Amino acid sequence: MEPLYFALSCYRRRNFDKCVQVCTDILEKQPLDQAAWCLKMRALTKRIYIDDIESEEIVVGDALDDDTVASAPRPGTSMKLEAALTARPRTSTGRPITGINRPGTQMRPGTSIERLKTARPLTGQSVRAIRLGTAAMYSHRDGPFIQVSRLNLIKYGKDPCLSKPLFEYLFYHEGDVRNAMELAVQATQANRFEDWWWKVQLAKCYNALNLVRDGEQQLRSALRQHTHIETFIRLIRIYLRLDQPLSALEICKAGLTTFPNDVSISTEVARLYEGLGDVQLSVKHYRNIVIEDAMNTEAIACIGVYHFYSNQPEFALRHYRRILAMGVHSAELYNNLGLCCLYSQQLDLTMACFQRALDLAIDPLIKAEVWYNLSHVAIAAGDVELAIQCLSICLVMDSTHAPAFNNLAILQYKLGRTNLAKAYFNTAKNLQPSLFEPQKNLEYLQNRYLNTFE
Amino acid sequence: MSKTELNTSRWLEAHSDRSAGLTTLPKNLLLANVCGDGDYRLVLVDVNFNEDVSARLKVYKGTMLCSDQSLPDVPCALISFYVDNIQPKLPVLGVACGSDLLIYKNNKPFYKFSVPPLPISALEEDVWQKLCLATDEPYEKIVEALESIPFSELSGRSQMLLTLPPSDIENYVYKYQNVELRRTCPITCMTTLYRNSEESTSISYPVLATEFGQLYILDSQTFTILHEARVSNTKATPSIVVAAGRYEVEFRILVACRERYVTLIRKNWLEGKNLLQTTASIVDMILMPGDKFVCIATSDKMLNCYSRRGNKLWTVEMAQTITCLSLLSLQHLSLSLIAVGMQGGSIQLYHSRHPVDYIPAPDTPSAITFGRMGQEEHVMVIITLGGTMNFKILKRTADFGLNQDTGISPTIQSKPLPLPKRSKLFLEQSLREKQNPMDMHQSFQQDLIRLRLTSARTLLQINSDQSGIGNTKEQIKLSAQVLGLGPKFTLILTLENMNPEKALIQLSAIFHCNPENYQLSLYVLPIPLIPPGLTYKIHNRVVECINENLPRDETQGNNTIRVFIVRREQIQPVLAATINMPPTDPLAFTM
Repeated sequence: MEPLYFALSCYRRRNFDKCVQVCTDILEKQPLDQAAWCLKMRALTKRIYIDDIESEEIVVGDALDDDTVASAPRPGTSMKLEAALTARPRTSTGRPITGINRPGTQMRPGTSIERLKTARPLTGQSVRAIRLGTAAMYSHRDGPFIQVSRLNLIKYGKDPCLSKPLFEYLFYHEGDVRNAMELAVQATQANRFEDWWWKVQLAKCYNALNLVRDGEQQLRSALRQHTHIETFIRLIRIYLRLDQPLSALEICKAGLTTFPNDVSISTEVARLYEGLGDVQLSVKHYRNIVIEDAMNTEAIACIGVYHFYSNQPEFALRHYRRILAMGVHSAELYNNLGLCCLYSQQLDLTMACFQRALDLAIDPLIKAEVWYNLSHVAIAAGDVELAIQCLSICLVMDSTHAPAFNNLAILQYKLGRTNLAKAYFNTAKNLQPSLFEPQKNLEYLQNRYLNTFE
Repeated sequence: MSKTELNTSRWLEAHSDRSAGLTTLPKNLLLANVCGDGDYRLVLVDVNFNEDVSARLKVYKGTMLCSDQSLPDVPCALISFYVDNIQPKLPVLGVACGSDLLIYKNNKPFYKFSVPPLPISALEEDVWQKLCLATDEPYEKIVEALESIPFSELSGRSQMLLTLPPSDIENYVYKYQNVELRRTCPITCMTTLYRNSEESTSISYPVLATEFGQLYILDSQTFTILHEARVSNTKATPSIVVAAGRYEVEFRILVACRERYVTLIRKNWLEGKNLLQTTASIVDMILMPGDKFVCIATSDKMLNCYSRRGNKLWTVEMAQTITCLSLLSLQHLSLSLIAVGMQGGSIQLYHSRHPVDYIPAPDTPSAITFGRMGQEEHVMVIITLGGTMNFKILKRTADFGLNQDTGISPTIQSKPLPLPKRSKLFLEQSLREKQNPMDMHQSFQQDLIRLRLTSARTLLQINSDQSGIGNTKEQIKLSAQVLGLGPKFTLILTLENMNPEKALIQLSAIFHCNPENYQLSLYVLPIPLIPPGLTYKIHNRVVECINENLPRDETQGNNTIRVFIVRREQIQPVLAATINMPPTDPLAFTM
């Protein structure tokens, strides 16, 4: 078979490694074969490509951001929710717990300044993107495929066939945002600022370099030329980064008038409302999504969570069972099923679910959460000793679990060990200052002490 | 309620005299038309608690002192009432001093009524006869006989005698040699009761209650006892008495006792009935006019309201200890408010259980009264513990915002709890529960036992790591924090002593790691004494050795540092912890 045809076939069958190998062979024979070169670039890119829309971490209150306007925004205009009194518990970073893990919801715990010290410096570029670059570099021990510094970007920018694959290669595979942007600038100029695709790519680069406002301009300009769902979503993301949820909502509305009932944009709307604390509207949108796409896990999970926290665990149970039937098999899901069973009094099924969750949990943080929930089972059964054991295990797995410290302190207080309780309350307070329970409990202890003293 | 009314006070500050130097106890303050000229005067008792305890009855016209007379004893209560229908109508003042009721008319002493003395036991009489006869027998012997009588049934003179040192007995006996032995009965509280009309200027009778639980209703014209009753069938010492109704028709007298009872006495009853009992001592009690609720302030900062049958209707907890109560009847608004004076100098007005106004006072109010003063209709007089006399006039426009419904009921209660509807699914599930409860319970119990086993097993497995929760037996807690991006880290260990009594001594920290991976700035550290409740921080600098040849595998667990806290001459470590070090990004390192 003709090697290039074989390589193309491999590429179509998503056998990228084989495709790369064949292309390398062709390029060894004919180093200037542009088709093979292009195909190899595309294969290498595709091999590691993941949807970068979802992987983007939205850093609310970016510490290095100098576009911040108001430090005390008006209520309802910011995602920085302080102590909006909703019944739902919050994650350690202070966000409402949602039905599904998203990049924005799974940040490392600790106060923001500590996060700065421990984690990578906060930039617009996601951690995952940096990792991808690393992985790509290590896969080629015999030297890089393209010497980026030697590329004549102006020449390639003018080439309509090669410029786009080269850009994607640079952006995704090499992780070299600066050169990718250079190429994008050249290509946009070559197209006389008329190609919306290049504007979106430029916005991606600006976004990665934390030039958010420039990215916004590019995306708006791209939308004027061509309406595309991806462009809408990227623009929404930019407003989220700028902490302007209302502008983001406007973009959503504009997007939904062009693409009525679109699932991706509706998901954005639902998430936005959730972030703003309007759970009811959020659930309304999730319900619409389920009508459009009955297999949408995120929507089903979020509706389940809504039912759980609005005191209808039986409905939540039904939604989670639906997800289970769809083939999801994870510790988190079994954990949630166990909790729903416990609170809807299906006691015989409770522990079966939790046992599976324990078996499936590998990550110590997840294990810690499962043990934390098991402590609730123990409390419901009235076994304080067991509850203390469960919480101890939870804290060994994750020593920064502030609610566990709080609950442990309450149990110790019930057993009459006030000093231990006080120490644990203080730890909980220090670990997560946004949590108001330890604060209140400490005040209560202090008042009791004062009263007995009087 | 308009916005301006919210902010500005409903009260006009009429007069405030911080140098008045008054010491006025509750129930010793009233406003009355004592001269009959329609110009209501402020009448109060000023007590001097210095070296020689004395009291004075003072009458103020406006802010001017117009009458000041000394009283024989410290009075317990002050009342004013009308004795006849002769024009011009002139109320008399009644002051309860010891066992006497002193009546003043037109600011002049008018009559003195004494509560009949109690019978004296024969033995006591005998003892005093012997003492006065001055026989050869030593006094101590005679006095010993008194000790067989219960102390509370002795006369005051004998009680005093028993407390004296033997050397003073002779003088004491000599002093009282020729005075008749009496067992007086001090009045503890007093109020008035209308005869047959509830108009404010109609004739009313004084009601007295004594230390020994007797209640007397006197005729205000002849000053004879009309009715006598026991306050309670148990031992009860009245402290506050309030009355409602008319003597000739039907009346209710409520007596609050120091034993925390409130008893009820009605017409023709010879003995009171216990109506209710409070958990804390009763500070003050007032009867709400009209609906006959009784409001009781107790020493545990509570304001309680009880129905006429003694059922508790509501309680409100105050921020401060309550010192006195006063009733504010606003007839033009057909409204009765309770003024609650509190420790620290604040007065809150309550309309049933809802606070409607707040009045700052110069300091802790000791007595409050409200009524007509001079020509002014609604005046509040506050006498504070510090001796300040303060007059406040209620503005005519004040309606306490009670016309709007929103002002009264708290917003929390108007909203029902957001309970979800009972769903069909729920019913199905509960049906399942009903059908096989035994099986469900048994399997859950089995699962619980299994959970206990699992948790115990897990605890054993992770015994080597006690960071976070710490050692509860030794009450030590360790928390670790890793700072830095790598390859240089700082490890901060915080050791907390949770024991409230004992200090931590003889401890040292040992750090354990694979030297091929990490280099530490210290490996063994003796820990100094940690006092109870305090923490000690250990900083340890960690350098990761980057070895290009060794492919680093995070799952093998060689990126951990273990910490042991050991006590000297003890084999087992007190505390052990495993710290997972974050991986250094090779990219960041090479860049």
